[in-house]
Amino acid sequence: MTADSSQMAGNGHSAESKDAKREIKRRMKSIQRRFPDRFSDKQVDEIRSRVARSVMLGANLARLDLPNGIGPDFDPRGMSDE
Amino acid sequence: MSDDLSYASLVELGLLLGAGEITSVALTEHFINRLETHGPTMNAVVTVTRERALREARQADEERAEGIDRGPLHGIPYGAKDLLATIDYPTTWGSEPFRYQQFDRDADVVTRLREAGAVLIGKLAMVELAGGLGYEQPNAALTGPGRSAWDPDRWAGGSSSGSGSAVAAGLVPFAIGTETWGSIHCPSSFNGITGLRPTPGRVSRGGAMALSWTMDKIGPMARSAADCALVLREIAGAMPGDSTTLGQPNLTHDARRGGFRIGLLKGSIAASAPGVVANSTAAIDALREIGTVEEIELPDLPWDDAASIIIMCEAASAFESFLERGDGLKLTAPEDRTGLYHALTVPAIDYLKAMRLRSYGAAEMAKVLAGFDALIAPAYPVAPPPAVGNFEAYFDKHPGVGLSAMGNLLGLPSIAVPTGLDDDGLPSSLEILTAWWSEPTAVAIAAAYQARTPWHTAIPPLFA
Repeated sequence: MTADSSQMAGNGHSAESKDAKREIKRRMKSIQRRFPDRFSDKQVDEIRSRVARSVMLGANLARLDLPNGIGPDFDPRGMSDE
Repeated sequence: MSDDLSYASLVELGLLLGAGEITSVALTEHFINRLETHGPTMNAVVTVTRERALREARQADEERAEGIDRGPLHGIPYGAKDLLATIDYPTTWGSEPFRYQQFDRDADVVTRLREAGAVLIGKLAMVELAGGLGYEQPNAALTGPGRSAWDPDRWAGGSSSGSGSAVAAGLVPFAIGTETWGSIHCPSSFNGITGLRPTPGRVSRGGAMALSWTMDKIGPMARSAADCALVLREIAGAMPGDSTTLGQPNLTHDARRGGFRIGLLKGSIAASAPGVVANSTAAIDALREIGTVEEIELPDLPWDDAASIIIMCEAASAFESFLERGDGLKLTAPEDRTGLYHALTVPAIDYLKAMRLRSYGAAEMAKVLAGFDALIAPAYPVAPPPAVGNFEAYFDKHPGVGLSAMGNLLGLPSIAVPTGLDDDGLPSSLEILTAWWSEPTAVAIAAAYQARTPWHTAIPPLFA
């Protein structure tokens, strides 16, 4: 995740801010390195579009300031009265 | 054989079997015949499990003759979404790459139903890999686009497409579907049937295809809340194959018929298409007869974003070898062939943030739920879309305001109930969502609502 998520959030409305573009490019390089010669140009565009969206989702979540004590281990069994 | 059987309730079928007025073999042959005759109209069936079905039906009849009673589902046929493993028949996960996949076991839910004496007659169609690769149009399954029982030119919904349409058309008395995000409620709504999504961990996922370990749920789809409750009672419970089922609270019974406190999600009706607005309004009038209905708002949290990140990461991990091999390139929908590669690069910090949002959001929603027996909203803001063409153009007209993202992210149980037909004769539904493990309350409200409304009994004209 880019360090400057506030800049991504600040211009707010597009996943294609400078930081976002950099992150998208980084992730696309990783995919193409891992799967060389696998995709057509059209398919690369489709994947890039999805990468862009996931970068935006990450930026949206990064805006959340959650307390230190909130962990990732939610279990519905803890929500029972029994 | 009377076509009344095709739409009989599970209790009615059980009484007929118990009184000896019909055998399980005859009942099974009736539904197999309907599945084979009408299933193709809706692309609802992957495999008819005839040999196994007749064997199980004969066993049911022999046991009944010996005085053995396995319970309310003894001898009753059903269909299983084709992501549930079954011995002796392929389990395709709705996809070309897995067309010939075979397992040497039954999924836990299939085992439970076998022990309850139910008769498996078919593996039902689904969107390829439960839709986890990001399909954007109806033709995203090995079996072709699922078609609604109310109009085959309309999509059946997904990913439990065949489960929805087969129940609606009276081809199976009940079916098993699954939901990660929408896959029971969507086909229930688009086929006008009742679908129950339980709390994760209520029903074992042993032997079921995993899309998202923290969000996959298995549940019944049938013609009424009462039937869904009957099936849930047989399939719920701890099983060693799925550790999340261990230590679950008991599945109790909510005997109330009224006095319910219901919260209506603010803006959810207005954000829907006109036909859904009209149907939902009438449904809420019926709910006011059994309790109070007041508007509520959800905590302002990025539910959709968190759910999306979790599903994409968990699905990419579950299908990592599949992606590595390039098997996705053989999928039906072109956009599915490039699905999930992006998720291989999502950083852990994003996934962990989404998981922490779930923990935080659960605590916030517990406060909201403390004041109500249930929350409601239209299950979907639109009627079934055409069975051809891109979804975006259709769904963008009414993006909707709903409970689905929050409910699935947090694992809250919910039942979708029909709310009637629009001017084009297409169905819509309301979802009734309750606190964790409160499936009995969701069922009680749905049953009281269905005691006052006729919509769950409607029969599609093509199959009447």
